[in-house]
Amino acid sequence: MKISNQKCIRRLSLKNMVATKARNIIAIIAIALTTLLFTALFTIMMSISKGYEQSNFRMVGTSSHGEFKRLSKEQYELLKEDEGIEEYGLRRIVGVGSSQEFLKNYTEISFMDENTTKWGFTTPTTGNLPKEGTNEAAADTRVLKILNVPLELGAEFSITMDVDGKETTESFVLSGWWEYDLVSPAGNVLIPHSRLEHIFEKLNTEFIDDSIGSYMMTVMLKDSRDIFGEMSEILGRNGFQAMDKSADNYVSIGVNWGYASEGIFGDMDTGTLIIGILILTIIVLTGYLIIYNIFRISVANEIRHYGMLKTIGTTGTQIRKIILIQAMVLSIVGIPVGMLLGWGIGGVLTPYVIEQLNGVMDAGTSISPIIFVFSTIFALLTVLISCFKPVKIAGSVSPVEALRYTEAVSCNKTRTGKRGTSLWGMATANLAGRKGRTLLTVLSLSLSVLLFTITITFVNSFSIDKYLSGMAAADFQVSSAEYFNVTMGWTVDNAMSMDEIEQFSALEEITDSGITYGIDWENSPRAFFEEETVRARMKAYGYDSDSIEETMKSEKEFAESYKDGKYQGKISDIVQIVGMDPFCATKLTVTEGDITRIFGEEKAIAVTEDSLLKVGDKLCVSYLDKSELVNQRTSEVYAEYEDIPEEEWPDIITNEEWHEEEYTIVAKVAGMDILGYRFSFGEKLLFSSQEMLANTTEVAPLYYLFDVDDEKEAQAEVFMAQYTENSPLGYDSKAVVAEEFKSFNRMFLVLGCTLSFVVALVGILNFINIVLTGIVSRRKEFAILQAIGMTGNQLCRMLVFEGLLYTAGASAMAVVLNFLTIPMGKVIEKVFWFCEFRYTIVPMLISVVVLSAIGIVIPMITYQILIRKSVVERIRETE
Amino acid sequence: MSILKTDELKKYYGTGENQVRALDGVSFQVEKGEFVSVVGTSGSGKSTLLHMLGGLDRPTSGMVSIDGQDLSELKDDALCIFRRRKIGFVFQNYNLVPSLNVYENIVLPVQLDGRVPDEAFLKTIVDTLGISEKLNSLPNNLSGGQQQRVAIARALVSKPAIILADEPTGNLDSRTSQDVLGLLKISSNKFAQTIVMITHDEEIAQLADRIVRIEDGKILARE
Ligand SMILES: Nc1ncnc2c1ncn2[C@@H]1O[C@H](COP(=O)(O)OP(=O)(O)O)[C@@H](O)[C@H]1O
Ligand SMILES: [Mg+2]
Repeated sequence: MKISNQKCIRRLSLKNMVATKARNIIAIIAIALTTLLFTALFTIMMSISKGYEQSNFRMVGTSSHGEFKRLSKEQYELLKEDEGIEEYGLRRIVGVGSSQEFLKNYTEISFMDENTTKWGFTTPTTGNLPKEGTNEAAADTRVLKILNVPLELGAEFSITMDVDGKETTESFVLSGWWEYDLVSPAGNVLIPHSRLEHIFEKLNTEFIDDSIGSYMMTVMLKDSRDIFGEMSEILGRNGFQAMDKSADNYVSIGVNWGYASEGIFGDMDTGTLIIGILILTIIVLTGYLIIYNIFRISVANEIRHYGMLKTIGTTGTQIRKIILIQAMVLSIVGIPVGMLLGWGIGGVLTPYVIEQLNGVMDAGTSISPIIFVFSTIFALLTVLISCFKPVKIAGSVSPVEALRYTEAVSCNKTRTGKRGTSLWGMATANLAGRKGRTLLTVLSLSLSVLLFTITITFVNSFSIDKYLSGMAAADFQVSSAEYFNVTMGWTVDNAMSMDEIEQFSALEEITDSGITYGIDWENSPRAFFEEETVRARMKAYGYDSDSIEETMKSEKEFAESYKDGKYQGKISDIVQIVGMDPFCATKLTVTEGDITRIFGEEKAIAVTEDSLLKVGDKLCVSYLDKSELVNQRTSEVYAEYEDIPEEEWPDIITNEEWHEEEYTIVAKVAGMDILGYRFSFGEKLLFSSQEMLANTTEVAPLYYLFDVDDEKEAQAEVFMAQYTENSPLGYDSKAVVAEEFKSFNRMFLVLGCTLSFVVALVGILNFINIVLTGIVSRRKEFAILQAIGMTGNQLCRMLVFEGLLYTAGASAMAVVLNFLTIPMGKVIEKVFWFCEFRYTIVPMLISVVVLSAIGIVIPMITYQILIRKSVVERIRETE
Repeated sequence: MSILKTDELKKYYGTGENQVRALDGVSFQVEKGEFVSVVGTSGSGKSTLLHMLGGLDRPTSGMVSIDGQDLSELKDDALCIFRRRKIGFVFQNYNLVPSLNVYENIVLPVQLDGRVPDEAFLKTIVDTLGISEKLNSLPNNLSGGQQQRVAIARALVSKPAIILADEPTGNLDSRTSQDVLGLLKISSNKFAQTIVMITHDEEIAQLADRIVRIEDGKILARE
């Protein structure tokens, strides 16, 4: 029985929709546009997340879920049949490059099957994988570069490699190559399986449970939720285990940590989160303003209908259901359309954003179901919120009021004065009679004006000069590519060599230059600070209070025991030191003191602008001179733990020798984020290069900095670009930084304008709706006006006046917002250091012109539709 | 047995100087099967009375009971359900749902109630009212008289305790008015329906079993 009741409500709801075609179309477009915004946002977010994940996979070296390591052939054959494995691939390492060139570039020579190359980013982009039974090989571009192999298919080359302790030199024919990726863990040369067996045979290699020669099985499981657990289970099913290393049936498992990380959203900071929520709010608001208005107007126009349904016994609940069903049907049409468009637009916009993100690659547009699920949820939520009030109004309509509604033609109860005589007066009065919807429409139009004004004002205020002076210290800064890559970071191992610097310094364009030296974290000196200074720094780095207290306690104990308690009460902490040539130091901005004193006779250093240390303070720095591992029993000395036999470990003690120097802090500087390490681990101290080299040993050039002749800047730029293209070096220059800045600028402009544009479309749609419904519901009234002598021209003018009044509200908003940017300018400059506020009238002009145009055009078009029917026809219309 | 009963029914609109006493103490009863017409000049409170009787609006004070049920005891939705089961309405402007066809319009109250219409009964009604040919038409394609007959069919189909008609012939010419009223009276006899009809037309009022006169919100006399 209940069923037929539902069916009846549904039919009423759907039948009624047929009568409101115009509203339906507008509502569908509104819902689609709202969904579009949500989907575009989520698409960008998920695509970034995908790019981030892909970047992680690149760092791991594979996108496979995991690897069973060091299998025998039999184990491999057994495991690959397991039903828990969705897909598998094989990898066997032959050896590692052992000639001089490979010292700094660890390179593996191996066989990989197609799946392994696919997951391992080692599929040749030019040419093919080496064919079985040939002497072909494929390699990445870095390997080929260091071996001086030309990038030509068929090129011949040879590699000297270490195969399980035996050295051999093998020659190959190049069958294909792919671009080397800075973050990948190793260089790769791929050879066919037949060649691998041949080499092993030739060298008579025996491999038992070792990386060389064994079978490495890369696997894809059904899902990535519990990779270690799944893989352990697979082992268990086949009589192996991964827990007890000493047992015979032990098999080592490698899990791809790229799947374990929480993804980019786990790393999201509060700022990004706030921006995200802000954009979501804007979208919900955009959708609300129009969908609410559409349903509010529609309910108002049909209130008589609902009242009549009530007189024949439709309950409020049933009426609410009727409208909600309509909203759902409109959503079912609008949401998929919006999602499709939004996904496309999101895909187009994503590269602009990813370009700005360090450590995230462009891995294409995500098609994660999350995008569509969340878009649907948010779109439906917006529709429901928007319908809430209109539905309530319709549900609680009094049947009597609805009956009376038709009897009274005008909705105004009384009207005083003589306003009604002019066309403007009539237009004003008409709007005043619909204050609610007028306000919503003006707000809806203003929202896009607001976004547009913000976008243009911002972009206009981005100052490239300010940015350059902040981000590019000298004309050129050269270092290892890792130095410029945030995910890698500079180390002594990857640093550029003095030979390379010599090559650059010979360039004739150079007018002035200098080197800055750095040192690895492990070999960095320590300094003795006041307790509060270290506490404050640890807090700023995000340590919890427990670990701070622990550090304080152990460091105090250390200071007591160190050098007879000379530094009792102080706290030692690691310091991040750089040693600069005078030229480099001149590129820093001195905020306090005199930087030149660090190059003088006295023991002087500089600190960063935000340091808690003060100019004039003394700081004692203690350098590690020697650190050795000594066997107490045998007095034998070792350099590293790895060299020591395990049974000797209990007898080993570390023997460290330190020496100290006391320095005066003579200056505070800004700009160390560019001219320092580009990552940080302790208080940053700035030395002269002389002083640093005198006190430390394991140092290397952090970067080489030089200025060139102003006329030759472009020439030098071309040289640098070419030089670094196929080398492990990278560089920053004014031109590079300027390009970065322009791309940031572009992203802001593109995203801002897209958002403004879609929101503007929604606003205009809202406006169309209000004009259309305003005219349709007053058809009869207009017909009567025309019958008593108002000309069509006058009527049209009145409608245009009405339209202009709506858009005048939004235009006024544009003007006010424009003036508001002036006081906001100071804030912009404060928050975004690279901004220099420049007032612009452009967004206001564009807004006013566009608004005026639609204020005139849309009523005129609607009027044309209205006059298709004659006056008599319209007067006689019953509904 | 009286099917409808009011006691000291009052309905005031507005307050103070602007107060309109649309109904000012109306007490009357309608017996089962009776055809009563309510007459009065325009603005005398006829429609207001009908709204109170049908539970479309709440009185300022006083009591209305239909079929033994005190309407003031019912909440909004309950009142709505009571209305679709016990009361049939016929309005001056027909109030048909334009997007539903004649058949759908007629069975709407029954279906809203989650019941299945009694097809045999429905056939008798549409035959009696002469609209059996028009069941698939949309209301806007019918003449005023036909539309009003559909409205009467709709009022009858749920076998209500009482039918309330507010100037059912107000929009019709005099010949059609006679037809429609004739049908209303026939239906009332045939289906033993109780009918309260409002009109300002004396001639039409004469067709009823009894006439109640109302003036300034008060009942004048009985005939
Ligand atoms: N909702 C209302 N608000 C104010 N006054 C009303 C309202 N409804 C009816 N009235 C007034 O009550 C009186 C009776 O109206 P009504 O019952 O419609 O008269 P009738 O149907 O006899 O012409 C009239 O003066 C009318 O103006
Ligand atoms: Mg009346």
